[in-house]
Amino acid sequence: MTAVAVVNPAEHYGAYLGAIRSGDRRRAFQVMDAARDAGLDLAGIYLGIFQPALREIGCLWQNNELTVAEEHLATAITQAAMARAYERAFTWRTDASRRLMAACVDVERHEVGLRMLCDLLDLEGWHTTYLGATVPSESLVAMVRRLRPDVVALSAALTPHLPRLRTVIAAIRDALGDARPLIIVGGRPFLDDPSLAQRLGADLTAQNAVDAVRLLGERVSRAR
Amino acid sequence: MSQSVFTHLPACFDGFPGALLHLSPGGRVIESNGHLERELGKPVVGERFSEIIDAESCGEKWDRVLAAASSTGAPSTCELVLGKGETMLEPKAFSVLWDAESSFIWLVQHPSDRRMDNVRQQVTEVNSELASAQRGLVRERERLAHSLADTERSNRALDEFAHAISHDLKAPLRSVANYARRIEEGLGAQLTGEPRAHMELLRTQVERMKDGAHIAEPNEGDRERDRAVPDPVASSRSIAQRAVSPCITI
Repeated sequence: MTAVAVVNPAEHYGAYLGAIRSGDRRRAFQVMDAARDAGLDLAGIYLGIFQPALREIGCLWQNNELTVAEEHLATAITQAAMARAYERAFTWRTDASRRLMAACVDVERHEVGLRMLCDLLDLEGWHTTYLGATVPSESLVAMVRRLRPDVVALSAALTPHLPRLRTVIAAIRDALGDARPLIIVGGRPFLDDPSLAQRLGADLTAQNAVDAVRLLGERVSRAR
Repeated sequence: MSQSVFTHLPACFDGFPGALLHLSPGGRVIESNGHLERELGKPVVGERFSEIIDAESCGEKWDRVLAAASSTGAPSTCELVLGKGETMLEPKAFSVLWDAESSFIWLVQHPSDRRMDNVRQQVTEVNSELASAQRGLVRERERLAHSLADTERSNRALDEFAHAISHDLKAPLRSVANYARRIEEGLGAQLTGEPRAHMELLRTQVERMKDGAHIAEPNEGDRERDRAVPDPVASSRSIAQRAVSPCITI
């Protein structure tokens, strides 16, 4: 029996945080490549390295140790690193029958979490459509009407954006009635209080992207 | 009511493009140059500054900055998010200055250049679109690779089919030709006019089909050309034409 080495993301997390904190894109890519070469899969890289590193960047901003510009640079580097990791992990699946559409509600700019969800679902054989950050409510509902996805994933990272999220969910329900898609929501406020999701009219929330992939896999059947 | 502290400022500050606030050591707004009121759409004088900013993201940060300013009097800089109803404004940078009598705090917003803000916004959007485009390219590349593999499998199957057909056609065609020849020989001089013409046409067509049967087997040059143009429809049509063109026009 072959022994499988257990890769600990924490070994790479510190180096990655240091790289994005100093705005060193090349170094960040090297760390990510090393983590992948060591055997870490996409979910492990996303949740074990990128997500905690970006949260720490946010904390450093709150501690007045980083500026907004530095925070944006760290996010941009991570977006590029994610695309690089995705490219190396993606394989075409002919059985992609389940469809998810993802968007950040109007004025919401924190999009990395939704990107992670879409990427991981792609690898699970979903067909995902990512609309982007700050998607106007009317456009979002129009796209749901047109694409008729099985699932709509919405993100609101800041508490003041929750009323907009509630409005969008209500608009989707009104527009599609019983034929409406499953609605999953995510963002910092839902980590603190998962019951918020139901109160805002959503069907699901998850603690992280891997959890969301598992929950959606259970709720949406493959053959539709 | 406190005196208007802004009367002590040089006249040039009248047109200062950012916010100027005068705070008590406890953080309550005593005076404002009106900039934040216009931006937030609500009065700020008399309010605690901690109630103007987004407490969730900046509350503790402001408390620390205020405590440091009160205890050390040293100037510091911080970025804070102001709240405007359901909308979060972009973080704004402020310098926190302790006045000479150590009884007030000046909060001076770093003036921002709208053009730079727009550029930053555009860069963020382009980055996001680039990330989407990169994923789209990856997916299309993988899909094309998958389609190419499918096409090559189809072409191999067509080659095998054409090869089998060419062998299967030869024996019956040879029989037809032999029987036609025997009928012509048997009837001899009795076969004249239109019947003879039909028999000659039959033999000619059979010979052409026999010639076509070995042409239906694609040679290596054909395969190379098919690989260079991996179009399954074109490849199928090419093989079909090779197989039947000697007999009929399609």
